[in-house]
Amino acid sequence: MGQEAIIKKTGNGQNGFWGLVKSHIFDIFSVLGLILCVVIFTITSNGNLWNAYNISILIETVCGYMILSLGALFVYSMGFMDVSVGVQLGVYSILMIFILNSTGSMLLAFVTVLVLALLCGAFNGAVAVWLGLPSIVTSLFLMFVFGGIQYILIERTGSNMISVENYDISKFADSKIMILAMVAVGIVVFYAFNFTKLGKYTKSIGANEKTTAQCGVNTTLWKVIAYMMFGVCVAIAAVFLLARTGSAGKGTGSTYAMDIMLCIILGGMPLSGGMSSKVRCAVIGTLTYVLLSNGLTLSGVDIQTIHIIKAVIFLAIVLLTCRDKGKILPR
Amino acid sequence: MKKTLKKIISLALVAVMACSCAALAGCDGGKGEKVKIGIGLYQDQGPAVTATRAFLDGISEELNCEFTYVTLSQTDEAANKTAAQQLISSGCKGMILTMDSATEAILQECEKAGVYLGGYLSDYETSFDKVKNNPNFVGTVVDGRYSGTQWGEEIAERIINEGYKNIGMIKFPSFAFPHQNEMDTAFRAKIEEYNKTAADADKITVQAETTELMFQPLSADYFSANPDIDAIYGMCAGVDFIYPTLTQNNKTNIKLYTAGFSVDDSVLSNFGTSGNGCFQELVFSNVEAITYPLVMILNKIDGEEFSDNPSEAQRVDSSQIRITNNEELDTVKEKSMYYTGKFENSFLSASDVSALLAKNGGTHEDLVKAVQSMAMEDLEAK
Amino acid sequence: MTKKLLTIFKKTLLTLAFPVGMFLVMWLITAVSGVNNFVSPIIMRQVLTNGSLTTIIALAIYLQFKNGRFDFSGGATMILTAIIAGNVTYNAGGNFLMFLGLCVAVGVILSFITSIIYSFSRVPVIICTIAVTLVYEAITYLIFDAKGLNIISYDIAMFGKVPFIFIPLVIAVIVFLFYSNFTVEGKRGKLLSMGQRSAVNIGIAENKNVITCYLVTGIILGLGALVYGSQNIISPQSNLSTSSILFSYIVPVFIGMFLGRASVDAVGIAVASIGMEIMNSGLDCLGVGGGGVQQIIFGMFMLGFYAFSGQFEKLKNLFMRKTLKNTI
Repeated sequence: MGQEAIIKKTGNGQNGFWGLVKSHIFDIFSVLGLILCVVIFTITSNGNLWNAYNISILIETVCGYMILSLGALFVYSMGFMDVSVGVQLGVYSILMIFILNSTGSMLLAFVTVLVLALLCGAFNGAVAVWLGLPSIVTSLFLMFVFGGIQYILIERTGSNMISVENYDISKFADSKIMILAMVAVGIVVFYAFNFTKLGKYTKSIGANEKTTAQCGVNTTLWKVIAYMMFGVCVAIAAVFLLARTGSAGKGTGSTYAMDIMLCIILGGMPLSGGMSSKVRCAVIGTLTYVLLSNGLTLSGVDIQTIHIIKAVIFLAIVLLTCRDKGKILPR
Repeated sequence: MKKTLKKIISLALVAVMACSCAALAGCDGGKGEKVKIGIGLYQDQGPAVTATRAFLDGISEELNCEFTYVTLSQTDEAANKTAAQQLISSGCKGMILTMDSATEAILQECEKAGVYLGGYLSDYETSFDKVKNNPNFVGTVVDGRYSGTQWGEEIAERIINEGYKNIGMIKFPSFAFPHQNEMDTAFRAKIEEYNKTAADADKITVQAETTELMFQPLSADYFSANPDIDAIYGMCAGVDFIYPTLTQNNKTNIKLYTAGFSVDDSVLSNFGTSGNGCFQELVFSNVEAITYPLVMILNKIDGEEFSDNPSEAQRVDSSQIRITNNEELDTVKEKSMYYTGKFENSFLSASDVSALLAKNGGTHEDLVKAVQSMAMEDLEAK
Repeated sequence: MTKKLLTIFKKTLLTLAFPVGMFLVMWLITAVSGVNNFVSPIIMRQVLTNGSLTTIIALAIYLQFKNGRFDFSGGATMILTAIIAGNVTYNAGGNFLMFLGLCVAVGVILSFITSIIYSFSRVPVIICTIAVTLVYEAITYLIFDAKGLNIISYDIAMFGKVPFIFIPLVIAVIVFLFYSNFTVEGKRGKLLSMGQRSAVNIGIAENKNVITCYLVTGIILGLGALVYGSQNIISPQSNLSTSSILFSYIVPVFIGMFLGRASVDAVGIAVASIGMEIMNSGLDCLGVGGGGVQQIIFGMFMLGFYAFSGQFEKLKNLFMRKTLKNTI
């Protein structure tokens, strides 16, 4: 980008470049955070970070988080939160195993899970509006119900976990397929988030729902679509999550709801949503989050010390990337 | 003001990163040709973790090993696979894991990387039959005995001898802990056998249907449903799941025979005839049992084999420390590594472990004998 | 005078309707199922014990909620407070009063730190408190040899049992009511939650208000830590695991906000907590406690109740209109 273009974009002829830097300061900090992680862990892991095997692990680990974080963007950009996604993943994994073991049809398993995920998305988006509930309530409801279902399903198997028996699910754990899936989801999300009404309206709802509605936008409809979009990503992520181990148990997926939130925050996105929500927040955040866990383990850091290092780095990154310059305290 | 704040935050971030870097750099380096073994425990703190680490630290020099630790999830298979992958990635040649979770997937990774996997204080119930012939799986050492029958009978004998008449039965769900059913059945059978010949006044009543705790502490309604019990056989971890409810409901007059152990004084000061005397039996497995998978893995890495090497991976019982009275508790406090956390209290010295290696003339029989010779009488004889 | 008495009677009746109704429903279900131990002193004591803890924690969550903030760090603050205060008291050979005092002091200090970080970092409150939660959780591994806390069988844990548990409960309710209704900052907090920008524009010092509110929350969380630490064996926490504490106590907040309309919010939360504990105890007696079925029933109930309360005004208007029509 030339100097003129920069000046034009920032609209500040006097200090255009610095204006651009200033207006993207938080993005720069989140990217710098990621780069710092890479540099530090490259040194401390004695180069193990970049060995071929570790790169394949990183791809495998990043895949599920990335697809989920990209989908979650639509929900978080509206300023909402979905705490049920972890248990949903668990139930979907178990259901897919049941279907695969009895029919051997991946298509049937995926379609079933997709339909369920879409229904949950519609439920989260529509029921909350129809009944006048905060979205966290429907999400909590799904968390309790799906948590209960997951427990009952596993209890009925008579074992701690259940595995895929008659189908080679590991082909979905291939690095190339995972990269392909991430890129495909990334492109769709990037397009939908930046060039369609969906992205525009979800960000707008996050910025000011009332104003958006007063502009003639059917906010209920777009909320439902946003949640359903997330549902699609949850269903896709469930396939890759299951492919990693070929098994599921009573706690499968349980940590993902909080992990995704951490990924998005690390990417510099405010959970209040709005216009500052960006696809790169999900991408950078996920990479930083996975790198932190991977790098600290590769560096041989003591288990108990890992928690505090992660916490302090997280605190430092959010202090740099999520600050609000407004007159009032951000909520 | 704002600029200053930004500068301070920026400096703080750089300082944090620099400190992390320094801390991390200090964690590694200079270990040379040592064999790296990954240890995956399902807890990241507690006496078992402290003692395991102390034992491995104590033998690392002699065996020319270094150990690296990760925490496993009790519920998330994918997280466990990631942890195992990271161990492989960091250069581990072997892994000892306490969780049978995603085992088949982890073994696939091991096969790819030429890494060996062993189990520690876990019976690998879900996957053992599927993986026992895998060349990269070296077997597992069980948390006590694989079958729960013997302990169930032993507790029944104690109850009969000590004269309790109304016994509560509590365990975890069968789908998660199937061997607790064997304890339950064996206990009931022994009591039933006793009742056949006992006078009416001496007969023992056992709770008709065993209460299953869904990994939640016992609910107080247990005492209204079972108002007359004078002792509880807690097949599950009673210290964490039964005792708090007894305390809260002023029911510590009920005697508790349970699995598990705690070094916490609030438990031990109420054991046997001390304090409220609620705890009558505590049981724990020795951390030195990790010797079994460790030696098996080191043999594989060395390319050595025992003369009596089993044709497939084994599930080996380990001896447990059963604490049944105050004297035994004192012995544990004085001599058990699990309690003291000191390597000097270990059942096995570094040279003992080294002698068990195939290259040093050890046999599989010796190895099994070693992990099965760590009971209370062995501790008392130390 | 009679009218006033009648209003008080009506409000009392409405407030108590939820726990009484819940008790009757559970009693009926357990009786039909052949379970006869639901109505017993042990169960009632369990309801009061658990209900008291739930009320205290729910009040702490609600106080921030009421002031327009969702504080993610409540669970972590409480756990860290209990570990620090409990271990210090035990190691110093202190008594239950020392434990009480330390819990309040540590709770206030930790909440103060949270408020300072929030006020001066100007990071959105959820993000800021998530970061603080991670730090507080990590500290639980670094102190007292990562042992957590286990004092349940000592005398210092007496505030975990009936009747002593009512002391921290009453203090928490009084502190909550006093701050919310009788202090300038409490009233300013209401203004800030209703119109943050306008309130700041008319000169309310938001930072001061936030810090004061957190200090009060710290007292209540300290009391929560006192009871929680007296009733539970606490392990070190990580990866936002304390958020489950927050979510498990949030339902009485939602229900209490509605029930509080008939009286005052603190009382609403207390009766909601008692009502929910009656339900939990009933389910325990039916043998579905802690399992998947209980979770599903809990979720259904929460959604059903919230949906009802959300539509309450509409239903009320509809009913009034019909009655009016019939009268005319």
